[in-house]
Amino acid sequence: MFSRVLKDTSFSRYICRYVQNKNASIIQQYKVPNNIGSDTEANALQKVDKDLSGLTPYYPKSFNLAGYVNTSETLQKLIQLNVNLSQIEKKPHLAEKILKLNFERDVQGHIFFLKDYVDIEEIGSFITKNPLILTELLDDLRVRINYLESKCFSETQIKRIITENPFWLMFSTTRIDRRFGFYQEKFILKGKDVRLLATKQPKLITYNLHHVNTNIFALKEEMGFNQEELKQLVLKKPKLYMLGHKTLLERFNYVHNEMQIPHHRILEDPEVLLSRNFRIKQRHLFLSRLGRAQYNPKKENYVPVKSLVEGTDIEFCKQYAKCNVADYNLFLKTL
Amino acid sequence: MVGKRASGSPDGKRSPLRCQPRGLRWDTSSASHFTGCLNLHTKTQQCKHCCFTAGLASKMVVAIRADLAQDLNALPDRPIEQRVEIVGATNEPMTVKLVPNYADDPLACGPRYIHDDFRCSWATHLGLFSSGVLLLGINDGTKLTYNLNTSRLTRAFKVHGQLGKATDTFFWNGKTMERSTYSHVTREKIDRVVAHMQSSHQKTIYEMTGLHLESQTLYDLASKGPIRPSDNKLPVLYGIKCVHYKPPDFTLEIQSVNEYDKYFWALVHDLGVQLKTTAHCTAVQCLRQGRFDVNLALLRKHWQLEHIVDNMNACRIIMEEFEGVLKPDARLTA
Repeated sequence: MFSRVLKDTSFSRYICRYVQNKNASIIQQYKVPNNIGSDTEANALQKVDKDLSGLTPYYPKSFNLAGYVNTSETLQKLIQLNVNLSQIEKKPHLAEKILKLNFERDVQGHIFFLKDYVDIEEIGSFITKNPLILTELLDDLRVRINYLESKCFSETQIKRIITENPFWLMFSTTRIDRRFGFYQEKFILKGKDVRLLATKQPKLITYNLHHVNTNIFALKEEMGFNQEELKQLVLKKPKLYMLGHKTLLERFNYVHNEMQIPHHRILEDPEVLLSRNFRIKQRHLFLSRLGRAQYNPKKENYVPVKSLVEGTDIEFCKQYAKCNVADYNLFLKTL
Repeated sequence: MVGKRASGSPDGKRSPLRCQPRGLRWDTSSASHFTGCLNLHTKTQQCKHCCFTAGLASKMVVAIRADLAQDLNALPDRPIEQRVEIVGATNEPMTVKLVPNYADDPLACGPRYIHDDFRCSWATHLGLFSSGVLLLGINDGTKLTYNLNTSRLTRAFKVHGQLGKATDTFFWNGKTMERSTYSHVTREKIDRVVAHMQSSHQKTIYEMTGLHLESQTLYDLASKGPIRPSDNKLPVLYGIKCVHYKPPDFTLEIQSVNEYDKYFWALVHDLGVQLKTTAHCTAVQCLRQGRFDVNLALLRKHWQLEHIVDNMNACRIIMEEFEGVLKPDARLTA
């Protein structure tokens, strides 16, 4: 990767083909004798006593921001803040905006503003994820924070929301308000619940609502959870509504139809739907082979459904399968 | 509708609807042993390695490359390069400074290793619905996997089948086309049919040599070991054995060259027909390819730098120990 970075050109700064970059007057003076054809022979090799350190060549064309980092103070400061420029440049329109920034003019104020809501160490990754925050007006951002305060979010809650979801501040207050309304209406939530939901999974509020609607349909109509259960699910594991519709259905199908776990038990441990299917499958098949796949808490040798998704394989084998992890690995090779 | 609640049930319990009667779930995504013959040539080190896997090879390659890049990037990085800057007015003595080169920072130029740094290729295909051993070469190891491919190593398979049902794809995921009884099938009958299949394959391979069947030349050829086909077209079975029969399920163990997953599915279907019933395949597992067997295989959860490097070393030892692994002594047919 490194070899692709354009070599810095500070060495060639003094060589030839000078192009005026900052100080237009110098080149003007330098060229004048040449133009009027005075008797002193002016050529590129002529010795000049003036200070030419202001002359630099054009920036060479670069396909990444690393080519400009050594000459741009703003980019250097962003790197010191741990902003990952290589991530940002993957979207060229973002890279263009970043290049036009001036640290003191555009960035400083935003960072002072953000540091009240985001941990200092997190600011770098925050800007990496959402560099466009630097182009938003500070007043707008203040209004958006004020909106949250007016909706009785505590200070720690606001901090968590902003840190967890760097895109939150990009949404205007009307949009956020509409989205709160959407969730309140869909899941019949109280004000307290909406605040809990927004704090627990701030990304859900700004998520694609069509996607959320699809998952609501899948959970309600295809999997057969009722309205009250949808509400419990969203408050317990809001991430369920952000999963792909197909994967969610596939996981539910396996857990409910193959493993015969009833709805109310899924509701107790909804994380079982958040794990990749192969993991549940492997552990369930192993337990069934051992004759330990007994998920009913009212009978003996109960194994909680949660155990299929939690912990490492070593813990799982020790605690629930009661065997050596080597046996489990051997079993996996027979699948 | 997968788990739609039975709305009319008086006690409010859900009906245990089973919409998709899925066969024996030898699902490829879960069965993921991965061993393979990787020869990892990276910028900082050169190592060889073997690993095997199951499932969709191309998806697996994506995962392996991502894992390798991630794990190598997590290792301690080299110090950031310095760069010389000459600053000051040009008409006065200038100062030479050594400053850190920001362009070398991984934050600016991107991670040290990216997916494209790892070329991957597999020695032989393993079908989408098969599981087991898959040899994979990384970077320089791709030459190795090419050699492994052209040397036509025998592969050992376990093929699981079920009597009584025929499907349109010959596999469990197909549409059911026919059902039949199988009570008349016994272990002996399966053995008889299977032995017949094996002998007809043996006969074919001798005929493929183009030599007279009773000549000394063919005897000499055959005494050096199994005769392997020279191209990758004709599937050849060297041994078929029924290792498990519990009606309606049965398991065949097959050693073969040039086979592919659908060939086995059709084989199980043929077996059903010859047994005067119907059968479909429920799973195909690759247990061994040449000297690389499933014990060496890396499970999906072990696709990490540490295990991959160990595995590469293990495979290199095997290849050094058995030099003939890449050049088996026995002849290829014309």
